[in-house]
Amino acid sequence: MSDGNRKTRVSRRKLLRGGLGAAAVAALGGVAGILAPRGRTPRMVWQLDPLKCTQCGQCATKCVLTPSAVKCVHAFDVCGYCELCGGYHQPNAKNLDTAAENRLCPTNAIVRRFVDDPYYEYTIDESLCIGCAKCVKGCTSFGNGSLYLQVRHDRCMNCNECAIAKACPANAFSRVPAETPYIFKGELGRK
Amino acid sequence: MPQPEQNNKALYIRIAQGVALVAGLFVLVVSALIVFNHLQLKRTDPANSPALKRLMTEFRAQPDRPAIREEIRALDLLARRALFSSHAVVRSGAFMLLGGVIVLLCALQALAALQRTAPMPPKCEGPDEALEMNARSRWALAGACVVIAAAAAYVLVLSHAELGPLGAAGEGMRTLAPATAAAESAPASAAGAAPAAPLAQSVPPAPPPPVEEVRSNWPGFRGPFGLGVAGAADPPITWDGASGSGVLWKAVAPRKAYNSPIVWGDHVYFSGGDEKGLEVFCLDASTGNLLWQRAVQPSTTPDKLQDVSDDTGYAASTMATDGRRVFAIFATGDLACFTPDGTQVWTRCFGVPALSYGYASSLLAYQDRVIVQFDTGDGARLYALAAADGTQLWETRRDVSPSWSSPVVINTGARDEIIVSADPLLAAYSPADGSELWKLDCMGGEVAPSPAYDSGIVYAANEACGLKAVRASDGTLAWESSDNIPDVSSPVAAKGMVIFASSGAVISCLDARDGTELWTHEVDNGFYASPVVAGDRVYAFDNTGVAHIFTLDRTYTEIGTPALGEAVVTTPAIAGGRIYVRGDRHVYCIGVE
Repeated sequence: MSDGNRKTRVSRRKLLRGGLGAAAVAALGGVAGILAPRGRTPRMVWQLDPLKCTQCGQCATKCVLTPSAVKCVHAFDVCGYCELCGGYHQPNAKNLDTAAENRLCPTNAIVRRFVDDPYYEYTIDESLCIGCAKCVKGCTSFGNGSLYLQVRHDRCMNCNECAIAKACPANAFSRVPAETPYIFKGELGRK
Repeated sequence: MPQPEQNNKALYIRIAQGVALVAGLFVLVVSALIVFNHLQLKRTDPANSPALKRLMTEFRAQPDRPAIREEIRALDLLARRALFSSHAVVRSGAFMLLGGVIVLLCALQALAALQRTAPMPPKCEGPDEALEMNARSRWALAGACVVIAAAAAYVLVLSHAELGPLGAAGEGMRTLAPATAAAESAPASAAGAAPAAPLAQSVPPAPPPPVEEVRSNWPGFRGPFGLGVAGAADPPITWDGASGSGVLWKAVAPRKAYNSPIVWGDHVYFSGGDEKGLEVFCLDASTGNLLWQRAVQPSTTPDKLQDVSDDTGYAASTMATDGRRVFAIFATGDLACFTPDGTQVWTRCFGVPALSYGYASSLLAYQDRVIVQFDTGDGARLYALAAADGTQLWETRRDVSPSWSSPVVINTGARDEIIVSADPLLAAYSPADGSELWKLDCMGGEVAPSPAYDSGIVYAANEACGLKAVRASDGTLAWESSDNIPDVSSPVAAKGMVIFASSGAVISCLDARDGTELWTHEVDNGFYASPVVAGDRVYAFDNTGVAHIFTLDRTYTEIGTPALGEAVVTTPAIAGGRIYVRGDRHVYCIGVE
């Protein structure tokens, strides 16, 4: 073999050195890729603005989920704890009790508990709530508006095209960053 | 006819098809139910039941009608139950649908795998050059194999013709490389087998020694023919090992062993062995100078032997000689043959003996052959090897347990017999061909003492079964005794008496005619060494090295008790008026200048 050919050959040491360098660069690139922010666009979720909601009742029927991902929430610091609750009782209820003929919620998802005369506490049983907004409508019309609807993101499929948003007559749904998915009432809303 | 595998495959296909069909139907039904339920939920808004609305309107108009109130409550409960039942159906239906789909996919996958067939290559039109080439290659390969086989056979035949056959090695035997040549040729064996590897054939073997020559020497364990009786001799009766009085010379025994020295002419032979090696030693009988020592290359290193106890060692077997050869066997199962000048002639390996304590049977040189008693756990055999070249002359299988005793040869007047003792047989064999002459089921235990013989009676002893006197003519029992029987030391018989020394430190003498006890003599220490008869005296070394010398008589008469000053468990050799005895560390020659 001639000397010229010998000079053009890659020695084992050079090969190992080059391979190690390339591996180090690749490792640094990988670490940087992992640590770098994954794009500037934040994750977006659907948000229901309770101030725009007209309690049309389509949240219960339009959602792809059964029952709907929209459920009623209660702002206790807004609630008046009334014995006659507009969100709980029929408008012209004969007796202020929990009987079916006097109750507004079709699934009995609101738990009414006596606190002190004449106050009662109302709590939403989320496993029974179907998001029909009857209570929200009653509370908004005859009470403080402490009952309101929100998209529960522990259930929401976060569809690209929300079926409820598409049908919402008040255009109350919007895409917002996932960091601020809810609009609360009461003290939570002011924070 | 379809094969069972094909039947199984068809069965599996049918099963997969059935499972896929059922799963598919299940998926369809569940899907339909879910879709129907979903549509039902969408169609009937539970929050706005028309019937409930109507009843509520009636109730508002007639609030005092309890029937309407009750109907409202009932319908409300019913509607809520229906609603949440529908929700439950949707949830469980989803899981059922998922499971059904999984089963369906698995069944379809299995079905596809079972029905999959390997693609076949297209048929070739006309002869294929590659196939023809392969066929030619096969023929060429076969031809090459034939040529190689023929060449190998030619080489084998040529080498066989030049070197001779490999010898008639018996079962478990193999031939090791012989060393330097003895200047003798190998005669054809009785079995027609050539010697293992004679190295020189120019000088014919010397004839076997006459009986008189054998009797004048000490050619093996317990002397001539292994019977413990020295030829005409007048060995000394006084000595003192400590002071050296009466000791002609004292030589160091380099490797610790429990074999006894043998003497032929002016040579004293003994062997030694330990974990590091096996050796044979030859001393000058007159001076005690070491004439030669030779290492024996074992088939397995001694340290690999598991069952050799310290009080047996690797060279417990006493050597044998016919004056032309000396033979030594070791616990490794290796037998080596040397000329008197130390030239190794041949070796034989019987395989490592499966034997607790270690191999201890001594060799017996008889005429032109050497007798090997090889009673091991892997089978008991008696071998006769040609002294000249180690060729196996005969092999006799024996149905006995392992033993540590040694063969003796007797002459009944009519014939020579090899007598062998083991559990349970005391047996006699023909030295010529190894055929069994007689046997008696009378022995027991772990037999170590060797037989004795005198005047037509064979005496065999072991502590576990007693001493048996058996007629050498037909193998019938003459009498037996059970007191003070040795378990290591062998009896000796002469002049109508049987004498034995036990491990319990008792020397006994019985009447050879009927076993009557003539006398017993208790001493301070037990005996492993066998008593030997020389002339009208008996020499018995106890384990401390004290020799108990007494007259060969029907009453006990002590002649002396000289001490060697060194432990002795080996049997002394008496030849030429001298006593050669091996102590714990030395070999002594006791005699008169």
